[in-house]
Amino acid sequence: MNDQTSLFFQPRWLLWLVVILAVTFGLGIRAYDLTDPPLDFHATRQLRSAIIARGMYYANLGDAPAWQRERAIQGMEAEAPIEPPILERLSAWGYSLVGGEHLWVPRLLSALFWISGAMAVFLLGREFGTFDGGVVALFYILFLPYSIYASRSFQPDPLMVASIAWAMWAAARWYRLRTIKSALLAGLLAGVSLYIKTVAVFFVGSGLVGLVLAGIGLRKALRDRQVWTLGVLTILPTTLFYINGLWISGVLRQQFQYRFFPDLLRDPAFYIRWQEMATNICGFGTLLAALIGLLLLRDSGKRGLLAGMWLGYVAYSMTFAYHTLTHDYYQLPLILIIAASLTVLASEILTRMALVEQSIWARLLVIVILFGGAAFKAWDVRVNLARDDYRGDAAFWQEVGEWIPPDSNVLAMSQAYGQALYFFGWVPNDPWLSQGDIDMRVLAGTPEEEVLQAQYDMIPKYDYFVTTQVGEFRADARLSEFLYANYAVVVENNSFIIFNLRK
Amino acid sequence: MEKQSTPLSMPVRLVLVIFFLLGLGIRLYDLSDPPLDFHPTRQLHSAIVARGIYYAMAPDSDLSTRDQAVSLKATIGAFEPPIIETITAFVYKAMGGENLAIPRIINSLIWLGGGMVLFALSRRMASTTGAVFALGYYLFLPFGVQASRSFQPDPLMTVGVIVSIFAFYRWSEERSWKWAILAGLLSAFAVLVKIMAAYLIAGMAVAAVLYAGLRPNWRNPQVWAMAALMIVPPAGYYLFRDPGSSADYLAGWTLALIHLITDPGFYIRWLSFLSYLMSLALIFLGLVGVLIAKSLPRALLMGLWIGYILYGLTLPYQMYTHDYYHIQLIPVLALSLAPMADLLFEKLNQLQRRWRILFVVIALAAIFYPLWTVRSTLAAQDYHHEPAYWAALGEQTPDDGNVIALTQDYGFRLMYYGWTHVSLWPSGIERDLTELRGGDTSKFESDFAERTADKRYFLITALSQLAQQPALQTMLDENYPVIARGDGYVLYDLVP
Repeated sequence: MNDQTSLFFQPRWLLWLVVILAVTFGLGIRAYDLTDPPLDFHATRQLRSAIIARGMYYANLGDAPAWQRERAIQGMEAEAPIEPPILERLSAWGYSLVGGEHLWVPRLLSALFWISGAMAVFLLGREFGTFDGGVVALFYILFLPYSIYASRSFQPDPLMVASIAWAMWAAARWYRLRTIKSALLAGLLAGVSLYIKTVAVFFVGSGLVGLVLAGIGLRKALRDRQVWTLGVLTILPTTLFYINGLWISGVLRQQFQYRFFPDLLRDPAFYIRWQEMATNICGFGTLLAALIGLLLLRDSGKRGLLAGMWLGYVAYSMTFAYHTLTHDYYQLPLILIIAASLTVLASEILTRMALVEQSIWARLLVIVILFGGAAFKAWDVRVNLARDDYRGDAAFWQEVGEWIPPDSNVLAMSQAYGQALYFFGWVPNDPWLSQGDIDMRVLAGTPEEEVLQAQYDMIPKYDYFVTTQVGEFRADARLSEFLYANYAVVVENNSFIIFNLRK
Repeated sequence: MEKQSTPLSMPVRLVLVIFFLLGLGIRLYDLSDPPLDFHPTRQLHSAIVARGIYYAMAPDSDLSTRDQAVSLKATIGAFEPPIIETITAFVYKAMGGENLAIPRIINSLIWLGGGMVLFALSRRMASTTGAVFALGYYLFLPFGVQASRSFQPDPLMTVGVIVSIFAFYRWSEERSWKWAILAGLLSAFAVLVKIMAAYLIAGMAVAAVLYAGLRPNWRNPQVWAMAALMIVPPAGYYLFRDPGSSADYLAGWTLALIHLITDPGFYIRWLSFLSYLMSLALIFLGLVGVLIAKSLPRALLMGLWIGYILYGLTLPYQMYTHDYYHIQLIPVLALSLAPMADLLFEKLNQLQRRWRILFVVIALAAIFYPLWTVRSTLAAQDYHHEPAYWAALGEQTPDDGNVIALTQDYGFRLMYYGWTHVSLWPSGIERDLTELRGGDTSKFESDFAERTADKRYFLITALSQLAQQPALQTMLDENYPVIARGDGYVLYDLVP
């Protein structure tokens, strides 16, 4: 490291001390309340991964009871693949390593992946400005409250964001060094990123296109062997995965269902709600500061990389318009883009500070601000994590499960599409659609009555109807009257009702 | 450092005109809505005081109405000299009637006037571009918009602080008698408007004196004159006019609650509240801005920030419960951000034209987004129906005996719109505060007997509050008949 890469955090050991302490602190807050079941954040998405990981784990667990093994594998196979189950596979290995299905394993893995991504952002600081800017961005990406909640969840997104961060760093580094080795590294990391979750193409792909067009130029790039190497390595793994999934095994054919809602783009309310979603998570002021950072990036190629990522984010959000409004974790890549852009502005500010004020007190004050801000945000998160305790929920689902005979066909109006019942109660079930899901199908063009009729037509095919959303069930007069009139109640209390559909 | 005499370029003038028009426009939006949108207790307090002053000098008004207005004013405490209320009353008189849009317009104009001084000051402290940024923050921060159009002395106090900073800055530059006297008088005025200004002004004054060195200033008569002018008038009012009131305030809000500062949670709540009001990122940027500011501005800004921190430590409860207690931080933060903006514009100037155009787009978003947020909030809140409701309730409230009430805003809605004075039964928040001060709220029965001893009726208009006080609800329901019940209120007869 030469002095130009860090003017503010001098001497050098101070820079590394701050980074190590930030990373340790960032890991610490993510490890808090580690053993709470993954119902705190997008339970549906987390339980889906948990069910897949369980199937993988039990498939190799020779001493498990046969019924458990069978249901675990059945659960895994019932989950339609969306992307390669990398985190789930790693978690299953982790379960084997620690000797049991402990859901803190994937939490910890996600947190570690996120922290590795944060390190990539720190290193990006050197590419876009200075390591000083990287330190500020590191604090942002580690201690933004939403990032803490999201990055300890069992879903592929934290890993995807981390991989995009590393791909960005490698691309910027390749652009600086222009060696075949750095091109290979950039291509490999970009390829891994797309393989982990294909939607990474919006960020990595558009970032690389921006870098090449703005930094090298199209004509020159087409004759550049390194550019071709980078491009082929980027798209190869995910292309092979999709060729297999769509045309050979066919397992991916369902994944484009209910994904695209172009009609939303014509509604001005979409843009207002999108803006609210993004600014609630990332902060409006921070978003603007990041955009200013983009403007201040002097190198045209690197600015192309960052601008490409911003445009990629816009394209991604408009492509998945419905999910942009309903699934806040779709904003996770924005956190990364903002952090990367902040490196530029922060580099400028801290460099100026280093020139204007060289006393240790100024450095100390900035360090106090960084750690004070981090502690403040972390404390907020800690309070929420401590308050929300889901440990009792597992016992509830087990109790519901005990009422249902093995091998029954179950239709469930239940939280998280019935996955909590499946995971904790070991009861395979198909979900009764919520009003939100019915609305989504209507938005996709199916008439509401047709969706409802299809639901009612399903009822005779099942043995039991379970509802753990008693309020919602009772509010649905048509359904509740139909079930009470035609079927026997097995059990009814304030928490759940079970109907026997064979009586 | 730019001098104020440097003429402003045409684009900057244009930007300033647009800023002030937008700043005024957003403050005048929804002008006729009653002042219940932002701290109704505080706004209605001022409204009652202004009405009392107005009727006292309106000889042709109905005698009973005048007496009632004056007597209602007399029943509520005077925390500070009623300067803004008196100005409002005079305008009521000039306009020929009482209209609560008037104080909203007055405070908005005062705030905009403060913006002009802030602009001039930040031009001196940083640069014209830095000053434009500071002014934008000062005018368009959503919290600032809402607070600065509210009927309370705080906007005027804040503007008093701004002009005091300006005078101190000029004195530090010139060391002339003119600026020494102005600094002293303007500071005294700000503190008279509301004593909370004393913290920032004292911090800045100490910093200004230390900046030039303590020893040379020790013998400087200007310093002593400034100190005397700053201290004597406010001290005369707050310490000698009604010493008991000041002592009570100190005992109730500082001494009884100072223990809060030993709780780490207090600092989290304080910071969290500030983050919500002003954006934590901008607060941190402002602190960094102080560090990169030139030496004189840095000294004064450090003094202001230290003053603010001491203020928070001595009034800890308000730091996370009363947002308007932070209004005076807005210009301090705006001034602190100016050096940061300076740096930013310096870099942006080096950009190609197309990127600068993109910056303009970002800047427009930075202005219009908060404006849109405020407009949406104001449009969503509609209180036009409230005056008629409280007026009707006031008419229905019996006048053949004293009334105690569990009601909104310390009874000020009923007092202002219903022309009815009631004694207050403490709300849940009041009871929590009593416990926080070390008081005992567990002896319900004796407390009830004591508070209702000379009362004939118990009026409830805060029904949700009643639900949170089950002991009170049980006492009333089991022992006293309901003699009237209507939309949002219940009246019990305590002497059936």
